[in-house]
Amino acid sequence: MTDDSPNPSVGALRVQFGAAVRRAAVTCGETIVYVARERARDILAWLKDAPTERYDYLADVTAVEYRDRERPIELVYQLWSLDRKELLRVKVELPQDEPLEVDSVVDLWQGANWLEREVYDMFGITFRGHPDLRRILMWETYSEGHPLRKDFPLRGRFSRSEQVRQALSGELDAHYSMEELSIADAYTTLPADMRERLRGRPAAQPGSAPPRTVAFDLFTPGPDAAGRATGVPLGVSAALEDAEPALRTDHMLLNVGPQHPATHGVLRLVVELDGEVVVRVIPHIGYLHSGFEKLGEYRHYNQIITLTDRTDYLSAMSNNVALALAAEKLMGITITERCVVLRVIACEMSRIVSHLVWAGTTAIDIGAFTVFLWMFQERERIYNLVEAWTGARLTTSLTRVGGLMADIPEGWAEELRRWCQRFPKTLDEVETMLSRNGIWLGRTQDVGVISGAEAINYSLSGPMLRASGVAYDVRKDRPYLGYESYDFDVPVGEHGDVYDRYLVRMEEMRQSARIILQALDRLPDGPINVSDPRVVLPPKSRAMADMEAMIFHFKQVMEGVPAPVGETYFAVENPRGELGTYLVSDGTAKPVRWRIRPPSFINLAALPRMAEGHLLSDLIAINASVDVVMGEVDR
Amino acid sequence: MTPISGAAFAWAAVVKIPLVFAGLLVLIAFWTLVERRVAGFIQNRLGPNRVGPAGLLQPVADGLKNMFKEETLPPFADRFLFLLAPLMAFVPALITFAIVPVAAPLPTRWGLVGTAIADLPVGFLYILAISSLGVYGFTLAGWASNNKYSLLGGLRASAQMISYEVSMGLSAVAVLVLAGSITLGEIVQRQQQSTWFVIPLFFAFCLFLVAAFAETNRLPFDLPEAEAELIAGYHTEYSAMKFSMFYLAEYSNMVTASALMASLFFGGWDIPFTAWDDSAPWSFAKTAATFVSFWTKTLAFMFAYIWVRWTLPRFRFDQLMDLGWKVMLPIALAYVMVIGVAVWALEALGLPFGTRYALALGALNLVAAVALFWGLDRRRLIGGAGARARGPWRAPAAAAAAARTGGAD
Repeated sequence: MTDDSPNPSVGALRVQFGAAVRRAAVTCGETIVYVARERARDILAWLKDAPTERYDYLADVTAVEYRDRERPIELVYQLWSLDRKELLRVKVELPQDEPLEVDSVVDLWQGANWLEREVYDMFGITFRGHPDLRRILMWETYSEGHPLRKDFPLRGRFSRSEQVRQALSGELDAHYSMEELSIADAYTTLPADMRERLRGRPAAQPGSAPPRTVAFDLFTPGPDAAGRATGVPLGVSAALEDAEPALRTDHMLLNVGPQHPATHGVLRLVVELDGEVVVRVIPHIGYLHSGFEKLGEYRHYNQIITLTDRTDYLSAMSNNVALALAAEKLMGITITERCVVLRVIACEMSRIVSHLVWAGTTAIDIGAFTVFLWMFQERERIYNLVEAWTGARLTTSLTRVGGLMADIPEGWAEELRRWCQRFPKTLDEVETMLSRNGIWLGRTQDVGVISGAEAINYSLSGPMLRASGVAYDVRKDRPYLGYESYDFDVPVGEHGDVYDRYLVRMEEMRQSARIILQALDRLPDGPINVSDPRVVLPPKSRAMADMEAMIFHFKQVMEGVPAPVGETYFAVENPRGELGTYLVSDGTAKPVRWRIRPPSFINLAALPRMAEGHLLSDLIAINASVDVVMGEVDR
Repeated sequence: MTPISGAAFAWAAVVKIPLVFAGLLVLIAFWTLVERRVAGFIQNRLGPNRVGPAGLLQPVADGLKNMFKEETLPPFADRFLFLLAPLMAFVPALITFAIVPVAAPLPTRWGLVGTAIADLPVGFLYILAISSLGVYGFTLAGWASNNKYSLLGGLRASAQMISYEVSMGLSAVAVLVLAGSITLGEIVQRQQQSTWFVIPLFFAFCLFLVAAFAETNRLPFDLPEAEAELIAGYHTEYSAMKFSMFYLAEYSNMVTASALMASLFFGGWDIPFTAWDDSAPWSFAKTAATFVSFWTKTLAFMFAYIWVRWTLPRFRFDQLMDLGWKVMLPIALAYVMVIGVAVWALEALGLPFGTRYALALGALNLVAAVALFWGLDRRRLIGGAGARARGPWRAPAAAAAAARTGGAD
């Protein structure tokens, strides 16, 4: 596909839907289709299912409001076809003077559930037919408005004292809404395997009487103009008439987190327990919400890099690379060869670091404490290397638009090579401890199973998706940084359970070490930054001595590097999955919209589906297997 | 020399009680240090080594710290039971040890002094009775704290300890059959006369070992306090000395279980490969030597506890219950019958109790043990979330992708 010819799907859409397809555009080689609001859901459904299109993977749902208040708010769907390896962006324009309403696509993609909630939370766009349209990152009683709207001031509407007053006077019981406390009658809508888990015996025959349950309306009902169901219950209730009808048992509501050893940050799970069986899980997130995306709109592209450190703080270098690549694509900058290879090394190092932490913390959640420390020892070693390169261990801020913050120090490559050769031995030791350990197998196999089709439907990505047997890896399917020229394998699981996720991640670490070794072999000499003085800061020594350099330095620091009008969605394969960076520019040095497609956030949305019906201990194991970093979930 | 009796016996008991319990507490205190140092060794780190030479004063520092920390009392807790629970856990754990003979009897001016505080005629039954009292401590702690995590931990503890007590008792029945007595002293004597019971009753030892791990709530059976799930389980709400008492209870349970394993299966204070220590004349040297022998065995088991703890992951509750009721209990029952028949057959054959007798039984046990481990292996008995059918799913694209993927499993 050349840069100006649109995706062939556009033509097919025009044939199928006529005037409902308003217009199409191509920017940065990516096709955008603007569709009419009334037909948006039908068009998306058609794109998902039509045999010639098969855009079965909903990568992201987000919205854009331009600084020009006259322009309509755009609702953006990023679609990806796993089979055809084709990206398509569908936009719906919502004029500001009309009510911001569209039809929900949750019935097409479960993965849209949280994404639409986030858009509702941040932009105030209402999704008709959404089963659970509540705020997600801000708390439910938040009354200041919708933070990502342009009329929302960066500091918020209320003064700090007003915020405190509101928070303190808020009704504490509001944290447990009546809906949460209630028991939903969703038993019949469950997949058969979950029903079986809940009952511990084969599911009831279709002819027999349905199990007696207590029915409540689970969610705050949304508008239902389209006539679709207002409440698809999130949870289920175990059949009340079980073996002993005389024993009237109650369910227990357990608050796991936000401070809990196994929630990996500040995740709060409200868990409804029947004995130890998890009947319902309701994740509450947003405790770490820092408004990074809003902050990004007030910063130059290079200044955003420090924010990316703090989203997924376990793979900071990889996030830095993602933002730099997206900005460079937007600006049309081609980076130097040495920079490309160094960025590959940075990405793979952060993958290993992140998976090391994952393996350690998951092992600790399942009770194997020693593995944790073995993994952290390796992590210490690789962090020493990171520190030698970037000067920081966690918040690296490694990249700059057009290059890198620093070149690797003398002898560093050899250290890394030695480490890469030695560290698989630690992995071997851990595998000896766990991979064939009967208790480990019993705790992980068949736990938290999600099928490939369902994983796609939930928009899972990364090891979560691959463990379910879907070989989708951005490095292979949409190669960047020359990944197509490296020889590496993408491990794929078979059963989609915790054990397969463990195997996939363990293998990914080995593959990453393989990639690093290849990258070190081909590391070319040369500059790490492009030679364009408008993009890259001159060295400090020159800026102090040379008038021209000083002017460039001044202009870049004060005005930033403007990007041409346009937008791009650039995905990289982060340790946790597809990290998309969606940048929209209006020609200034600060983006109109900087959207992170957060893999942890989207993977976490599938947690209730995976955990319900299992035991409490399994919930912990499943939650660990999702590998969330709350900094990224909450942003 | 005859065993002491009368007033001398009472005085001996008065001397022994503080001696044994003080010794036990010191051992426990230092075993916490050993545990942390060994954990450090296993995990490629140092462990506590700052307080005193090689960290030897660490237990003292911990003890002082715990004594001076704030005693918290949750406002909604049941005050009386909340305070009672640590005692209920601690006291039974400690007094179980009272009947364990730790060395050969000591000759004194007044007669022969046994090394157990009281070698009760009911022996092993006393152990079963007292150790099952300990479960009240954990259950009450979980319930009285009025905390959901504690409650779950307390429930788990009671279910687990009750379940495994049965298997533990049954696996010891074989020992009692072979010894013909339930007094620990006589069980030890009987082993001195023939051979350690671990040889003829290897299988019973395996069962007892597993049950003992479960009884003491140690990994892989530490579900009542599973940190990742239940914060700290039944002792979540406890602080300072009350918390310490649970800690001490756990460790004294560990000592007692180890001492029992040494006494029931490894000849107690018997020194192997010599008959010097087996019979009179008793002397101080014999008592000292057998004392060392007993503690060597017991500490070896206590070390095994630590080793296992830092190696294995944790069971899940249903797996634990399955293992207890569906695997261990039937096996233990069947084993008691098999051993009963075998002993009867050997008696009928007229084989005297001795080494050959033991070896014959040992061969039988070996067969049973091999069969068991073969059965336990690879999830044949311990399943995952359930033996549900699971069909591998592959995306249509995966067929093409399979060519380029390495395949993780």
